[in-house]
Amino acid sequence: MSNAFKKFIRAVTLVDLFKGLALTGSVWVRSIITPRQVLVTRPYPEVKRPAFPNFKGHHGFLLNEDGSLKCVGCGICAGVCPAKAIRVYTEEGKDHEKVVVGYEIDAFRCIYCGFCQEACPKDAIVLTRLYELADYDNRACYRWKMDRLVEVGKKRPLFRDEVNL
Amino acid sequence: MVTTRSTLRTQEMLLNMGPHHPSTHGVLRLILRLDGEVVEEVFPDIGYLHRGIEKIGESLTYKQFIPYTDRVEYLASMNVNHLYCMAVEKLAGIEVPERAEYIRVIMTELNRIISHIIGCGALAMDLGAFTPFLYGVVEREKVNDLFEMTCGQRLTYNYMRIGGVSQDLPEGFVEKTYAFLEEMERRWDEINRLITENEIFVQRLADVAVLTEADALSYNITGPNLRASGVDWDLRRDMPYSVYDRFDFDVPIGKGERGTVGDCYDRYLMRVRETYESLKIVRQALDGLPEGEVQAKVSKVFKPPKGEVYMRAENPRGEMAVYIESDGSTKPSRIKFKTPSFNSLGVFNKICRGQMLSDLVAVIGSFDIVLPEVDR
Ligand code: SF4
Ligand code: SF4
Repeated sequence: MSNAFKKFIRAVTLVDLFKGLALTGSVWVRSIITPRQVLVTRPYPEVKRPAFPNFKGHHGFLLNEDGSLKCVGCGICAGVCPAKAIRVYTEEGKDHEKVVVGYEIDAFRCIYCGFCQEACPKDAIVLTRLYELADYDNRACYRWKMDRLVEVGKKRPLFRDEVNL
Repeated sequence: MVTTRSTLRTQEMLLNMGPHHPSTHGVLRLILRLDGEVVEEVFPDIGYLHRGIEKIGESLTYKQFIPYTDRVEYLASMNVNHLYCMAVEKLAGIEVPERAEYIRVIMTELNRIISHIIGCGALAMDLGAFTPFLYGVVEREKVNDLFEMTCGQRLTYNYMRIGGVSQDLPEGFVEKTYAFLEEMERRWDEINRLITENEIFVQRLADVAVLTEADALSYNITGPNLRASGVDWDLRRDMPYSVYDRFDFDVPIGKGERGTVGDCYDRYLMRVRETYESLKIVRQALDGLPEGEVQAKVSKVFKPPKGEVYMRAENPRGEMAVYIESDGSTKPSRIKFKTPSFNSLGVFNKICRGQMLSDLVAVIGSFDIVLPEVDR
């Protein structure tokens, strides 16, 4: 009986409601006094959150110092890819060597697991910290062509400088 | 209410709840037979998120399947990663370095914490309390940052490997985790003050959809939902895998504090209490984190011996198990997941009969089901 009465009193006087409001109110006051500690959301496009160093984002294709491709067209990355997102096109060159003529990543198939990066013997393909993958043209995302990947690869150190972790 | 039910019968009605209902946690369709506002029968229609993960596994190598295990249950990817890797290691008899085991435990427990945050927060949100969810998500972000620091992903981690983990903990991880644990304890108390003791919240959950001990056992309910029904069973304590036998933690049991044993409130309470226990485990694991390797030597072309293996692990939603059959080649010949939410969904028809329609939302939330895991 007393228990039920207590319950009734608590329900009628809205004690719990005011307790909750006291907590949310205190957070609100704190958010005015010390906004940097309380407010955690960022006004995204204006303020971009830096990704952590080993974030797995947009693929980048790295070049040697002389500007030639690091990739030797071995195709290991295409083999380990669990989503079968990579296509490597090679041709036979003048001295019967392998020449990489095309490299494509299907951005819709890719699950950003990072196995290609782990497997590549030449460290030619890397997953950069670029996480803004949206594009105006969906057809461009079916095939991220080599020039796009190389461009991202060139800009890779930039993603590191821009952010201060 | 009871008298009106027996005297005032209305015309029977079939109602579809979902698949786009905001509180069905994913894509779940419940076909309800209603008598007025009272539920007479619930028929869960599943399969909207079936992606054939088990079948995909047959065409991939053992290592390539790891990212797919993330997607079995996206709210506790680390736990599924861990389970799958443990199963393959058991099959091939691989010894995992101690440091890797500790890291795995830290990761799975952190993942359990954020999974319970979402579970409790979503339940409160379904019942109309939006604030706890947002407060919880702030803490969840911190764990996501920790995970991103370590493995570069925020949701589907793909962190564990057969025989260890993909990379060692980054610099500053341990300190940041300690800081998180301290903060989280405080915040979790705060969130509890907000809803757990709140009379309005309690009354929405107490005595609703009681799952008795016998029912829970016969329907093979596992995890927090089973413990809420008063069964003292936790795989981490009773059949320790990995290095769980080295940690000291309690297993909360449902006692029916505000109503009957096994009601929605008990199920909610289990998640709240388990979060504290997980915090304890993470702290102990960080304290005892040994130095050393994080990856055992596994050949590049990994071929486990012929045979089969069945491995169970305690996941945030209950016991998940994986069965792998190997024919000695690089690819498994059969993979099968046993998932806890599927069983939870099965018991709905039994316990929801006679409940009000509006309480169904609480039931779904209190079982904390995740649909991709049901359908695979
Ligand atoms: S990140 Fe994974 S899925 Fe994407 S291309 Fe590389 S290996 Fe394939
Ligand atoms: S990116 Fe690396 S793994 Fe892929 S073809 Fe080129 S060298 Fe081989």
